[in-house]
Amino acid sequence: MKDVEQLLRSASTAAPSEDLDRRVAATLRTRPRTSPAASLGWRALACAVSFAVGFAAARMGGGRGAADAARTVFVAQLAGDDACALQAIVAPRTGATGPAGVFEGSFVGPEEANGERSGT
Amino acid sequence: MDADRNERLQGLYEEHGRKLLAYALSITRHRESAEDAVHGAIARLASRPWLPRRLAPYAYRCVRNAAIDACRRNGRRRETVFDAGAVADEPGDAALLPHLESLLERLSSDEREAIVLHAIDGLAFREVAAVRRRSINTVASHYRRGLQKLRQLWSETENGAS
Repeated sequence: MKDVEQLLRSASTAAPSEDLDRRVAATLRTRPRTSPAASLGWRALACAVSFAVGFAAARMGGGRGAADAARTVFVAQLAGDDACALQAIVAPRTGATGPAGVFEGSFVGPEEANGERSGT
Repeated sequence: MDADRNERLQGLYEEHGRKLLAYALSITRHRESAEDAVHGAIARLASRPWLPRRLAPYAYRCVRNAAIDACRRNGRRRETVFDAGAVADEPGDAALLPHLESLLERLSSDEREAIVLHAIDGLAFREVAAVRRRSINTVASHYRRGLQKLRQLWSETENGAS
């Protein structure tokens, strides 16, 4: 006769049902949702970095245009509008005394950035 | 990063799924609640921004919490932890498992959980201590005391039967 402990160790336990296997597989296939707190954290970090870059560019001679662009990037990122933030970086600022934006790039007008074309 | 996380969780489920279910069943004694507890724990881990380094003890703890919640909602039932299709080394042992399980029910929850986690699920005392958030000495003491009671109850029922 086996000892109780041996019996416990040799016993096999109930197996998970196919339904549980399917549910777990489906859960692991679904892309996990980032929590709002984590998302806000990353966005705040992106804001701080973009603002610092814009501010540094303005100090180095970018002038008012660069500072405006940095401010727009900061506000747009805070609002979660990445397209607007990108546009502020590449678009020239009208009436700016210095270079167009933080980075010089091809012009993207507001209508085009929104997927519209003038005259259509 | 998500793929890596899901791979770790998939590995956890493949390695520990059956053991997690046994642990949940030992608490709820209800198959559906136990499976819900295991699935809930995996879903909870999948929704975390990052996974703990020692994943298995955390998963056992999640399952335990979910199983206890299920017990509060539904009460404990009488379903079996062991595989109904017999599964011990010797055919005669399988017939003893329901009796052994009824004796497990007579232990305190600390003793029963220590026995299920260590003897049945095969976790080391260090891991059992991490699951239960107790010291290793405490869980080892629960295990030894539980086993002693179990042996005593076993011999009493054997003597009564003969």
